Amino acid sequence: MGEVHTWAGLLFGWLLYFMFVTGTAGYLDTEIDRWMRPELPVAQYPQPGAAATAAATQALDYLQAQAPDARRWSIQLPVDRNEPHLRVAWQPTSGGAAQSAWLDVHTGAPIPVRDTAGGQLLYQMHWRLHYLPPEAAEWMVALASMALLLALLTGIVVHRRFFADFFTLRLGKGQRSWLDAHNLAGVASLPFQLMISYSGLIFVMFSFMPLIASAWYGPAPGAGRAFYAELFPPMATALPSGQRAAPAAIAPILADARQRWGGAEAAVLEIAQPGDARARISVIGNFAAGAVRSAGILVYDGANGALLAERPAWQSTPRATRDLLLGLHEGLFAAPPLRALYLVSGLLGCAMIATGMLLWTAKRRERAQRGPPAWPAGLALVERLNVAAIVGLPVAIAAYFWANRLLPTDMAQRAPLEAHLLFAVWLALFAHAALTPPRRAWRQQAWLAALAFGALPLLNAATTGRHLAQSLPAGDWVMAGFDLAALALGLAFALGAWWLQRRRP
Amino acid sequence: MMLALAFALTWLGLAALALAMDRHAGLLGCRRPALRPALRALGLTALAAALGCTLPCMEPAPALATWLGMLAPATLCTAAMLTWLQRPPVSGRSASGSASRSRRQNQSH
Repeated sequence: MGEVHTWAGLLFGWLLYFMFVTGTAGYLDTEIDRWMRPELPVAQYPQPGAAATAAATQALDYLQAQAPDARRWSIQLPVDRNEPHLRVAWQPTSGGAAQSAWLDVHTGAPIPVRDTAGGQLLYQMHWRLHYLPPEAAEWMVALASMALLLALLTGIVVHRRFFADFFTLRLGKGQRSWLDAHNLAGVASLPFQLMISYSGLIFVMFSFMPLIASAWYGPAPGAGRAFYAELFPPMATALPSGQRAAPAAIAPILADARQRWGGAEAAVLEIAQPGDARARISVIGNFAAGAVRSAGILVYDGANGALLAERPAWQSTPRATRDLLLGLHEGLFAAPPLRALYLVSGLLGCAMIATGMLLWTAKRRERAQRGPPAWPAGLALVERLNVAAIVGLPVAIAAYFWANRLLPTDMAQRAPLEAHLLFAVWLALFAHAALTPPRRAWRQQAWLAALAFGALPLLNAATTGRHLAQSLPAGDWVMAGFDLAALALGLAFALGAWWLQRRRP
Repeated sequence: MMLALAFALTWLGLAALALAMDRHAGLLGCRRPALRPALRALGLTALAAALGCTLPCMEPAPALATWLGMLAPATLCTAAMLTWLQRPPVSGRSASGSASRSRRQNQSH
């Protein structure tokens, strides 16, 4: 049991740490988005009732002028912290990537913003692993989640004094202290860790356990499609007729949806083949309205405004169970206090994994002082990988924020370059850790992290007008909060670096 | 406001449960076993009251998630508090020596 815990933890530890750090940042994805797009004004949401109708009308006018021949339009209304701005996107007829634009919620005028993938990139990285093909990434993430669940369960079993040591943290005792910190971080946030690893597996269940669907739908390649079509049935789809027709007015459609949903507002409008006589308008409710991650969908005829199909938010208990687990994992419904607790638990997860990895080396380092180590190359490898993984990753993420402010705003391929810079800096830190004795590498990278985060508010002040001296008096808590959090992180890394500096060998 | 109260109650509850444990009981200055059940009852009541404080603030599911979430920082605060209270006195003595000395002192009470 102990061996399983050790090796599942070690082999998947770095990947899990990457998933936890980027996933924890994902709990602040839209706040990071807003810091990374300083051109956008302070968000004004929600915009209920007549304001929602006005915003939808302006978005439709913009799309009609900008992309009348698109295959698909989509309009994101400013409903909550997850979607704070009015945003439109369209799929060009020629194929190619979807285009998007942010609109002023009152005037409908487009707001030019720098090209960045924002906080969404960090959030999506935690399961897409950025450079990997989707299937490979999904399998790796599924195996890592499984390993985490296994490590948690075996961890509870091998933690012999689970209750006696519940609140114990003995400092300054080498290996014992790392074990206490590892146990405390894990035990304190155990409900979250169990939920996050199990619900993470639920996200990938169709890929991770394909044989269950195959048992009913057959192993043929097309059978998977039949399974999905039954699980997520398409609603009132139609092929384009090729004939143009005047679009139905949006105000009565939104009013009808509002009335059917007991006053709840629509969050998303999707228009398939706009301008065609067989246009379809899907009105989608807010997925983040509650812990169960589901929303009602209403499909209207885009030409005459008649309701064609309806899907309620609650379809069946098994499905709602799945939606609840997915909703708990994403935490989109969480108001600021619960979001802060999600953040604490996520950070504790990072700490649990990091201290686990450090414990592995601390144990073997202490053993090596008494006699020859069992596997000296392995110990050296893990020690060095730990430095660049544990401190290097935060530095790389800070570099992503620096790139956001320093790359010219009119640059081509700007968003991908920001991400490349994140990984380039990380790679450089792995090289640094490989070439530097671990003790010195820890210290240097921790100071670098302190500097990279601590100076972010200065960088923001130097490159935008929305710095702390402006955002704090204006009560712009998203911009100010990001800067203050960067300062706090910088301070935390500086304390860590200072502690490493004065620690005697 | 209610959430701040809920957090304070969670912390209080966990601290009471900790003091009812063998390892930390010495901190109270006396080791009367009769106190243990009372501390345990106080701890559990405080935790239940904390859940009661979160329920009126939001829907039941987020309230339960908030209560479970609060256990994490409250456990950390309790552990940090205990570690600080049990810290070795600042002197030239080695850490293990002073720890065993304070344990003897506690037992003599």
